[in-house]
Amino acid sequence: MKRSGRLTWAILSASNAAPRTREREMSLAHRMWAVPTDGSEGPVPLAIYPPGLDANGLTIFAASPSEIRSLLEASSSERRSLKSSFSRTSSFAVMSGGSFSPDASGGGSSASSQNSPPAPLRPPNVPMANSAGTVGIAYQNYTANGLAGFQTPLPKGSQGPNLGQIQMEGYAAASTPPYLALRGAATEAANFAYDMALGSWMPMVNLANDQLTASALRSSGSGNPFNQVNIGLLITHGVYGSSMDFNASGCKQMYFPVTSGTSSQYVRMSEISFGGSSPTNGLKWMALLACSSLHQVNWQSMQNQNIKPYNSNLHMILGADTEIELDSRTAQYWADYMIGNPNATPTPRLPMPIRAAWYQAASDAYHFNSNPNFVHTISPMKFATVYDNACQGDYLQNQTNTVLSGSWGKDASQVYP
Amino acid sequence: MRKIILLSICLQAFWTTGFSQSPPFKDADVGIRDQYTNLVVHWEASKNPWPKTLWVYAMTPTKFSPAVISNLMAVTGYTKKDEKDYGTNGMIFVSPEKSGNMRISFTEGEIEYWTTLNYGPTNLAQGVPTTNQLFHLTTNFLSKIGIRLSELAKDKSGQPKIYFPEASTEYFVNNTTITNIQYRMVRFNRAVDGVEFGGAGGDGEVDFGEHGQITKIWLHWPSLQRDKSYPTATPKIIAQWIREGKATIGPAMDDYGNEMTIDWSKVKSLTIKKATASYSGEVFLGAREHRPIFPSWIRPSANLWATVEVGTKTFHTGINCPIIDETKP
Repeated sequence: MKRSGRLTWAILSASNAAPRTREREMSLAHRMWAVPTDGSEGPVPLAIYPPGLDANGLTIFAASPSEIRSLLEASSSERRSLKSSFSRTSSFAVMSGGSFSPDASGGGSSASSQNSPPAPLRPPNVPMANSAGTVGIAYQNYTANGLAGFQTPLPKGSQGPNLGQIQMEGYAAASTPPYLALRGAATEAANFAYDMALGSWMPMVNLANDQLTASALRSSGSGNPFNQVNIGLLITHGVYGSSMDFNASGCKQMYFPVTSGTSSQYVRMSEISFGGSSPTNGLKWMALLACSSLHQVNWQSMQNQNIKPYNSNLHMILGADTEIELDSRTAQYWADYMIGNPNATPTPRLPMPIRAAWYQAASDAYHFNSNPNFVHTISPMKFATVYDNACQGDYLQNQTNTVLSGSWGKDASQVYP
Repeated sequence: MRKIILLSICLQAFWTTGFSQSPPFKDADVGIRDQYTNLVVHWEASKNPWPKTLWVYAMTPTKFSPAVISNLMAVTGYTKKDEKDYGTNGMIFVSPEKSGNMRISFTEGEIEYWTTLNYGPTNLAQGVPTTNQLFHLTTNFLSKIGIRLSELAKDKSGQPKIYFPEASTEYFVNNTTITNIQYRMVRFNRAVDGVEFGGAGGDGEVDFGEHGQITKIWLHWPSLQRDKSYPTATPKIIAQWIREGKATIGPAMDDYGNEMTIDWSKVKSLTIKKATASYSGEVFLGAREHRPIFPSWIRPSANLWATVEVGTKTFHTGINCPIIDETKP
């Protein structure tokens, strides 16, 4: 099959959301619950939904019945604030809202304390290391326009009148790629949040669909929600430009369509400044799970023009060099590999460096589409990372120890086939 | 196994009775698994794309011999003092003198070793093997860990199918790009009964770094035991299963690789262009990491490449379909 460049986000994962969560329920002594992301309804057991449910619009989370009781009690007394917490913090509000005791024994505390660090939700059989860090997750699933998807207006190549619009990869001038639904995005985000929480990494920022705004992504410093956590994951469509962008010194760069309701706009990569200065909650590592988010030629063009989507606090950006398929387990495996599992039986799994874990997770997700394994239509797929050269071996566990060098490198690794 | 079959029967009954009158459902992230009652399915692939019978295999504990362990230690540079023994479950090697570790799991039949070397623009990797050295390096390594070439999937010419994915690093220094090949990757899959693994349970990756030194081993090669044999589906049955919604249909692409939305009510026909069988097992990560390893099975399935004819347009898609009916051994 010829493929000429247009980003393609396929939803191919063979990971069955409902059965997988049922496994968790059995093995971790937690039930899986679902609640509408808009907070319009209370939580109900996920089991009442049919197999293969479309999880979009639902928050799926694990909790014991006693935790749910606590939540509902808190809800009845503080309904207003709880609803606001759901709608404000999105899909994983319950995980991140500080509602639950760190022990899975139930008896959660008040849900009203949004300012205090939330306790991670964890199963009783996976002891957590001492405080780990914080996680930010955002995704967009591009469903507001139904099957039609989004036709994001092309950005202009300059402020001047004569330079026209940016041409996107493989598309004719003035043609914008269509962005179809990323139906696996919510599951991907939930899987990642869950397994990071198992490792004591707290999902502090959780933004679904319109909760992630283009202006927030463009904000510098603490205005960018990701800059307030240690590690971030953004799941969106992505595309690289094939013409020069004179809004950014004439470089060729990457673009991310960000939706708001039924409309959308591109955020230029050059408009972003990832990196947080806080020694405890500043962004160090940012993953852009989006097609071509670190497209080699354009990244080099950006570097040549000194256009950097990061500041002096960031250690690493993880992304994709090519078009990729969305497999809902990639980020989950990434979490598993980064955190390791010292209590895994029969043999412990030690943590991997963040960069190596990114490649291994993607390779596993695309190669191990077990039961059923899937036929990939995008091939090859390459993941990529860019990093301060002093940080290429970063582990989650040694986040504050690295002294940055100021010079950056990039590598790419074919993860499929 | 009987419980699994019973469960399978129950689930199948639930799906067919519970949903036959309901609107088709879509998996949240599994591609589309709808019923297409009137779909015309043409078969242009081989009429006999897989063996007439295939086995379901049970994973059993793997015994890596002392010779294999010794060879792995020699290859990775670990010594006995680096070893932490987990008895019949496996062992882990960690050394304060190098990054990474080697995990050998007898239970899962896995060898996972990795190490990292901090290269930089003034410290590039030297003597990394060229691509044409990789086949020999790989076969030499496999012999050291007790894997025969006959266990590997073959290409059309009957040679072991060993392929070399790309990996490279670039540094940006004063507007100059310095490219560094830190290692070269090799991947290969296992085959049983002539059927290649497409999923977990039979795959390997080895990275060769400076002067051919191995920097990564990622091998999932558990011992397998035949459990039950089943007749494989004919093209006619596969077509029927697609219509019945038992297959998972991936996204549709146009000729240029653009993902397209298909209105299946307007689809005239679906044409299977290529069909292969593959085996796959379980991935012991995520939720599966928290459950006992055994029992665990390796199952075959069908991988289909197809075109979808809609009006005057043709789109391409991939389909995964059951290839055996475990209710009928």
